[in-house]
Amino acid sequence: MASSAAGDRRAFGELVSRHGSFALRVACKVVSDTSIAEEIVQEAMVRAWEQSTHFEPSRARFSTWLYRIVMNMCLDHRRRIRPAAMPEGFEPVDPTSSVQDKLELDERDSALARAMKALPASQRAAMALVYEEGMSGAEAASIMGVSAKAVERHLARARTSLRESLRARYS
Amino acid sequence: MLTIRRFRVLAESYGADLQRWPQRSRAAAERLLTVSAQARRVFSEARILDAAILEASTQNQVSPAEQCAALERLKSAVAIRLATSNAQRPNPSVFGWMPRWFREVATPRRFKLASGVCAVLVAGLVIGSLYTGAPATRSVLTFLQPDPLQLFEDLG
Repeated sequence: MASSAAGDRRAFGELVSRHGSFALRVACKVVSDTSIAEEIVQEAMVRAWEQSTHFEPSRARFSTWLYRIVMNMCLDHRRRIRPAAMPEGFEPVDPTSSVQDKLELDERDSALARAMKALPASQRAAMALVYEEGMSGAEAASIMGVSAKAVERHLARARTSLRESLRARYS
Repeated sequence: MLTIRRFRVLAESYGADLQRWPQRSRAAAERLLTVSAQARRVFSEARILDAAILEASTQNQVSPAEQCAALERLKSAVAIRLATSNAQRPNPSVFGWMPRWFREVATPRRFKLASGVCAVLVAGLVIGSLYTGAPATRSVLTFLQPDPLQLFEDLG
């Protein structure tokens, strides 16, 4: 990182290789569009390069600093666009048929996947970091720039929304 | 002491995987699970939703090959951006010539604080010298430049 701050492009390229995968994965989860996620991460990396002289290793790890830039840009993007419509209900199926059971499960998963995409950006971000990347609430909080309690609230709201969407479908 | 109320809040946030829970609550949660049927019920409800979320998450996942391709695209795109004029080379820090350990210690915040303290001290000295007038100036000079040695005075 010190070399990058001094203007070493090759050193910064190493940082892109090391942290790019995680950044892309999380950005995909938050913005739900691979090409937009790639654009955001690319922009975030360039911004990190431009601001690398302002990075203070005594205050945060580089990865946390970089992921926070990515996360802020993802959240900004999601705030700018209109949220996707919540998934609609499904036709009732005969629960006795195993094929139809399988179809129903697939439908449920697809519906839940769409419901997850429709969650507010901060809730999606919290879920991606904690549930899918296996981070602690405190780690997720430092990347999102919020308190651990706030992450806890985002997770609880996300789970409530998903539970409600499932319940509405099967009631 | 983890109450059932707090247990429910944590389960509704972090689900039924204790590894995701705050570390300080895990042991208490395990104890509560062994003694409380209510806690076990909350946990099993959370587990059902966890399983559904996990299944749904796999649908949103990008394949490893696509992830590798995306990373390669990112690396080349960033390299091109850095090589163009749009992405300016980082401005070297004013303190770039100083040793790294000093730059780490002398953060901008500490630097501002030290500058403030110095400014107050200088202002204090100036104001003090203005108000105490000539005697003070003389005393300061006397302190800085003691009386000349009087080795030969007694001889006279």
